[in-house]
Amino acid sequence: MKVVAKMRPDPATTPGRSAAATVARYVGALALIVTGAAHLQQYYAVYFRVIPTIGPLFLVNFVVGVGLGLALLAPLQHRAPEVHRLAAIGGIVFSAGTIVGLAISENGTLFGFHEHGYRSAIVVSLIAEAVAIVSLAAYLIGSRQSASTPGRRPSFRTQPGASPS
Amino acid sequence: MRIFAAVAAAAVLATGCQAAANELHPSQEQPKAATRGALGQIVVDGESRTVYLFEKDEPDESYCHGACASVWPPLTTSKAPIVGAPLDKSKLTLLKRGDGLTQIVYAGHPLYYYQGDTDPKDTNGQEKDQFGAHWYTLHPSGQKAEAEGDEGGGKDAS
Repeated sequence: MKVVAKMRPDPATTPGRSAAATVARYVGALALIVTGAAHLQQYYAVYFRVIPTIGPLFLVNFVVGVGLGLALLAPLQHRAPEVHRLAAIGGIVFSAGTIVGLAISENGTLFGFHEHGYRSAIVVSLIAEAVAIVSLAAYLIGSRQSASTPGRRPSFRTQPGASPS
Repeated sequence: MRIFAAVAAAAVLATGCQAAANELHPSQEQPKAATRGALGQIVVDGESRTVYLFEKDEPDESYCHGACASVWPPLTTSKAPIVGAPLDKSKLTLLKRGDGLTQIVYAGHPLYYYQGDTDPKDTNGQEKDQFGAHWYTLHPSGQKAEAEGDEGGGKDAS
């Protein structure tokens, strides 16, 4: 049997997959910014700034959400792709943490604070956090596949009719 | 992530780990009166924490829900409150809220805490204009309390 190396494009590096990963990164970034903006709106417009501990944490949520979002939007994919991957991981942890915090305060108290109901700002924030988790996870998976394989790799096939050497 | 954790921890420490009012697990409340400077004698809860009325409310009807109730938690009780002079027991009623909590009503005014009061003696919510109306402390008579010489009108909506 004669084994020959035949070059074929790797699916993970096809333009379509690369574009999908980029879109997922952008969507995740925007979702993080929306999450932060929703918390800033609650901090200022709905007077959450007066609530001990929770008020400052809402401001922190805005700063971290927007910071991670901007890091994901920054054109660093060639110079420092690790920044995007770290920001994506941070964004997932941040979003999950925000959801957990809301769940605790809705069903009990968080730092003594109890949240009342699911008003529109909370719904928007929850949707944005869910979108961020899904899209950033998709980006991480796509970028890892791209990083683990070179642009083209040999595919070993048995050539029909070839005799073993 | 270390930066995020550090910022969050700093925020908690900066606020002195103060806990907001918790109305979820009330005990049998014992509202009473206390003196607060120029406001004179006002209604407070059993731990001398200032409580407020919301001008938007109608007699025995609360219009503070959602975000409003998060910032202005209702004064709740597990059972009929214990009331002593100078409060008038006949002016005290209870209101069943939509979330199942029982809110204390005095002279037709559902009572609330203010999250901006971090010390029991604080009256930071006095004359605040938030969620569509003003907030006031109230006298044992049931009338809203205003500082002497203050014709009302409220402060800014901060």
